[in-house]
Amino acid sequence: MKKTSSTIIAAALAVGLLAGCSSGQEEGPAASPAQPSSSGAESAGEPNAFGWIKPAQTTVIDFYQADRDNPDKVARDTVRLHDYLLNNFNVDLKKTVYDVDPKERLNLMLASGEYPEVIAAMDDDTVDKWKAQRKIIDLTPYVDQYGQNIKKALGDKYKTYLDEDGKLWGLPRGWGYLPGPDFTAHIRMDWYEEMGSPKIETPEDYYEVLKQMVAAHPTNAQGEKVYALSWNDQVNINNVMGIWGLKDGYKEDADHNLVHWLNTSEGLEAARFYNKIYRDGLLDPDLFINKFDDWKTKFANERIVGHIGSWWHSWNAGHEIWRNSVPDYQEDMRYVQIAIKAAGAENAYLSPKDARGWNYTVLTDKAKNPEAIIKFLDFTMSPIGTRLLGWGVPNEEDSLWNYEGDDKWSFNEAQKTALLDGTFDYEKSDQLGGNRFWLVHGQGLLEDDNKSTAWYDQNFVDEDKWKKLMYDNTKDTVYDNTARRVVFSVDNPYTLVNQQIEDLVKNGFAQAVTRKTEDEFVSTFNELRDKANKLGLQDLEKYRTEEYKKQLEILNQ
Amino acid sequence: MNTWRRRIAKERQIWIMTVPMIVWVLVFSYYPMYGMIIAFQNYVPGNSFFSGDWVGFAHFERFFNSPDFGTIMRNTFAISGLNILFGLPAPLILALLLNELKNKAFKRFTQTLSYIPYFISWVVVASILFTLLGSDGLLNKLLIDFGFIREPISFLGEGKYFWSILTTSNVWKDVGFNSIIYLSALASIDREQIEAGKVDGIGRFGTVWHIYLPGIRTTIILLWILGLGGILNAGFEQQLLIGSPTTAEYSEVIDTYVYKYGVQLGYYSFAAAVNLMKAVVSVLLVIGMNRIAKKFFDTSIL
Repeated sequence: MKKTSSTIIAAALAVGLLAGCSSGQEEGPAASPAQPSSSGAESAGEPNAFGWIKPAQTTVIDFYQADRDNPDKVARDTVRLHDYLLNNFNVDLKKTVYDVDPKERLNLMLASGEYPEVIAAMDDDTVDKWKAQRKIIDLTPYVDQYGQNIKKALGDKYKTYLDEDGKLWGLPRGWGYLPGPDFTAHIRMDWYEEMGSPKIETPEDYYEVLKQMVAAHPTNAQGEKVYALSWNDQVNINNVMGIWGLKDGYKEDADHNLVHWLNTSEGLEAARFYNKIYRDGLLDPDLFINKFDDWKTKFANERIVGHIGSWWHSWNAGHEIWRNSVPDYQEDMRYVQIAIKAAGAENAYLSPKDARGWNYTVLTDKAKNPEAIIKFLDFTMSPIGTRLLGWGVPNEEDSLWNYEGDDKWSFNEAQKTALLDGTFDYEKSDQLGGNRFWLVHGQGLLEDDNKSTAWYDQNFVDEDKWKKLMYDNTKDTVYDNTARRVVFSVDNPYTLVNQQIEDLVKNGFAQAVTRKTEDEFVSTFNELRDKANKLGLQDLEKYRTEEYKKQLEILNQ
Repeated sequence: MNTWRRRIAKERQIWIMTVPMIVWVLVFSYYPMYGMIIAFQNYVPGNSFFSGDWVGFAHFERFFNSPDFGTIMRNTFAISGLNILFGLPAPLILALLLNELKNKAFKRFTQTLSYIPYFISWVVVASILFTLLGSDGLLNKLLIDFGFIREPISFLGEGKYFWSILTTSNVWKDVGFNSIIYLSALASIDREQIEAGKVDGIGRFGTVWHIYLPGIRTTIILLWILGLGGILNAGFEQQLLIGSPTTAEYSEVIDTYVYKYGVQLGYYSFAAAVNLMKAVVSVLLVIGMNRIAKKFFDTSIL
């Protein structure tokens, strides 16, 4: 009896456990439509103020944006514009982001088959990979039928987005040329003025001034050590190399041959510049450990007197914090952006601009109604659509802009004044949704007035003395780098080599900079160069040169 | 055959209870193994495992010829070796010490305290380490205040400190939890032997040496064999959370390399080849160590 009952209990336990292993049915992917059919969301009624005729059925655009971001903040910042678009356009934009590496997420999506209808911010090689798997659809027929604004906005460049078979697999995001700086050197203005604003032209001048600043302010108010320079995970080595005349990390000769900075004397000098500051004890010892937020805390605590990085870093971590936290805040307690150029360099190439855009928005094979999606994307590429998506909800008290209809619009004077006065509340204005749904619109000057741009705060450069100063100081450092784009697709034999070299260089640069003697620095640098060349850096240089020349030909046609 | 049937019939309750575990192992450990095939292909995620181009041992060769190979293998063996060297005896020593405590309440309190770090996630451990060992951390402040150094030392930014920081934190985190198995083995030792030892006057150290250690020898050897079999498992989250570009030369191990190239960058075939190499070496190590243990200590797990 005891044996029988224990057998029954054991069997029940086993069955119970196995029952938990059952799986649900998987939904297969939708077939990819070859040609546009009826959208199933035929427009009905009168056009709204933007000229958009609301579809009878809600157009749902469920998309993942492949950027690392905070989902809670994104949800907070998109709610108002989402509701506005739903009420006025009958378009339901559902944006998903994850606070994880987007490449990792996309690879897992591809491997698992679990992905949404639309994916934004997909880079060239990922588009290539998804295209090879037929997981994204050719947009050409839809754009031909519904994409008048898309074709008009991209103009002659439209054909450069088509593949060799004339198919369009993704619509560009952030395309167009905005002639403002992205990357600059920064210096703390009030302390610089205290020193009598000595002339700064070269990296050596810059360091000399920083050194004197640290000497005058060796510790902050909390007694913590102050450093000349630091670094954070958003700073790119290739941009730094621009000070020494290299373009995006490569030296270019008159015949457009490219040489990586590791194989140039300029690259050695750039690394030596940082190593010298490190050996002098004036470089933040945590520079290569700092995440942006760590760096921001140090910066806001007045522990870093200079910076070489994105222009907005010192705004975000400097005066935008100080004006609210420092009781007797003066407006020159801020950083200004300056251009520095190594002696002998033809120019400082700090801000490479890729007019083709950052990346792409694609429609996957799960898109149920590609026609309706393309119709809305087409609207957002029109000048007024770009303004709506770029500046957020209009016509409310705290809106950045007002829209009357018939393409008549104006900036909200109160917000503009706040921006120029330095009292603009970025945190609050983010909640208007401006650029939070960046699917396909551009960042260059809009075609209808040739002066406004999707970046709200870049619309008043001439009236904003600080922005004007930045633009004036750095105007010669911005250059068109569109032709240098290289696609490292899955079947490209250089893809893995390129990745291995990037990893090697990132780690090796950090090691060279943090060597304690000149000899150690030189030997680490040479060792890094030899390792990279052994891995195939020189072959990669040749490959990049060939691709560059091909692109130049295409773009010059 | 009849003997087997009789035995299964006799032990049927045990076998029925074991069925879910056997199914679990088959489904989750053996069935996915067919995916190893991609190590010999140019696999593209999303495709069938059998649709890639066959490339033979190309991915293995690429890894062996890569400049990363030497560094990664060195780091993996060094970190694992240090973990075994310090991480295996530490819980044994702790268990022996706890076993000597007479006050039961104090023993329980100490035991509980020693387990706690095991349940702290590596994310929290990493932030504790940054607070303690960062340039502005507590340790640097103390060293500067007491005049030992003038400039802060970047403990987390210099590769030479990485292995010791990792080993120390690994031991600190796992010592309490890993001592449980030794404590249970010690509890199974016949009390009469201990009493007899007392009568013979062998003392505390004599009891440890002549009774406790021989009594739990099988457990010790088992754990050493498993530990050596896992020598290529040098950790993962630790390296990702505490490592940085300046320490990469010392922190990159097989698992982080596989994660980077496989999951993050999508070179699944290359990553699968590296991981397969690791699995084969691990199996060989377990078999080798098992044979050695059998030959010299007459104890084995296979």
